[in-house]
Amino acid sequence: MEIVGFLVMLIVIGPIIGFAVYFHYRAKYRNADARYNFEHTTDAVLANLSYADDYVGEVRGVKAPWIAGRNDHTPTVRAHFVKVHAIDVDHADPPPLLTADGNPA
Amino acid sequence: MGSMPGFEPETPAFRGKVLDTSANKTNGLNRCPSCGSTEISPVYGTYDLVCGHCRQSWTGTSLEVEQGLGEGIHALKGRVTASGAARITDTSTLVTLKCGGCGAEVVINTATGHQRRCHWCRQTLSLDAQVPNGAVPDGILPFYVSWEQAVGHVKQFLAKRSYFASDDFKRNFIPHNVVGVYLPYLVVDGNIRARLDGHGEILKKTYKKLFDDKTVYYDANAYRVYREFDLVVDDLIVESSSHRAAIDPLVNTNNVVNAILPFDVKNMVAFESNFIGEFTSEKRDLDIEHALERVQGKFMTLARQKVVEHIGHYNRGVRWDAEQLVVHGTRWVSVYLPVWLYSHYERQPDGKWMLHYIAVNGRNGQTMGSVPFQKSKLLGLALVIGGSTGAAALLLLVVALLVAATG
Ligand SMILES: [Zn+2]
Ligand SMILES: [Zn+2]
Repeated sequence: MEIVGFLVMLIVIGPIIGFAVYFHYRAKYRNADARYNFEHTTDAVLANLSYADDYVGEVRGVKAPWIAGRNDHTPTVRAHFVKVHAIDVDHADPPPLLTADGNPA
Repeated sequence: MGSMPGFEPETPAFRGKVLDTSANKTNGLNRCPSCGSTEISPVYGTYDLVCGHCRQSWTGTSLEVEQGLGEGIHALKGRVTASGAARITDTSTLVTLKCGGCGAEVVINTATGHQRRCHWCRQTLSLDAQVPNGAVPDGILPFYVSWEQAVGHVKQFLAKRSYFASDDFKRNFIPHNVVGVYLPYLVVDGNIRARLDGHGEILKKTYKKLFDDKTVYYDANAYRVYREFDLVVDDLIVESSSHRAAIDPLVNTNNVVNAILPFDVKNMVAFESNFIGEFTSEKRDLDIEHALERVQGKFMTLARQKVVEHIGHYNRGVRWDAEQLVVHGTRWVSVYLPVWLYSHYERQPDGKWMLHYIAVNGRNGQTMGSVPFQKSKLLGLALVIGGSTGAAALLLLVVALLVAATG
């Protein structure tokens, strides 16, 4: 019976709604997630773009709607490999930038 | 490489340039250009100062124009430090000034102010030129939002957050305690090159399999993605007091003060303590070195954000595996920014104190805050809503089963 399944679902959903109400109001009062969204307001101009898009193969029959480990929408979260050459500090010559697997470009 | 007016040509031995923002300033008597009085105060909502003696008024110097701060970022090489952002070599807050009027020595406590009246001749002594304890910034952005407006913003913010607010908070809310304070920040320009490497996917088709109409399967083409580009960053703002920079919502509410950024720092004027007037200020205690990692992380974030419009065709998204930055040049300027603050101490169940802020941007009125709430009251509501949904469903289920059994 469809109706029984629906009602059982509602019983389970009750506590979930309770939690949702609690977290909604807590967020509204405490604003613990509020921060300066500098990546949207800071004046930053991109120029001299070099790019490559190399076909590597086909992905077949996966169930995920996104690429595994997708992070293009979370710019504040650092990638797996991070390197900063602060030549404004040490005044060295600009180093060669590496490829993703750590080899010279 | 373009040339920047006023800078020495770069040499290999170069260790960093200093932009002197206190060249024409002295500490001590800052006199009215017209009558020589030291009774000078800011004109609210403007960039003007006015003499309390002869009523002559004049406008502060735009730091952006005077120092060419908006120019030449793409050509920045090495680090340019405005003198107000120089390394702190003296951690004491006390500065002794000699009164130019009577010769008395007067001590100014820079933790709380930049001016003091000479106790002998009654003239006002000002700390305008930079001292090595970080108390004198390069620029200041005067308050534009008035106290009445700030209180209005705070009340409006609280009106939407009153039902669950703790009794102690509601009982002790006194609008009079909304106070204006100048907080110290560093404004950073950057000339950067960024390289991003990762993988992206473009959808080819979606389909379902026979006898299974629920699961969706995806086929996609996979690519190795590479993007490398210059990034010119203008006026990134970061906290320069260790207290304010410690953002951790578990133990403090500094994040809400952070959230009222940005400010229109293009409009800042060269610092003079006369601009502070009746307001208080907090001293900078972080050097560029202390802010470096935070700033480099923000540069990286900006690179990742800016590249989004150049990877739009990857409709299954991109996974960046590697990100690299070359920071060719940076320019650092210290500034006081105007903030209205309301604060409230909450004693938590574990006995620790939590300081809750409501902060109003002193330029545009943007408001953010943290309000302590009654956990029991909110939990009660959550239980009632959650419980009644569940209970109603249970009741209906019993009825449905009974109907089915007897039907
Ligand atoms: Zn005068
Ligand atoms: Zn004196």
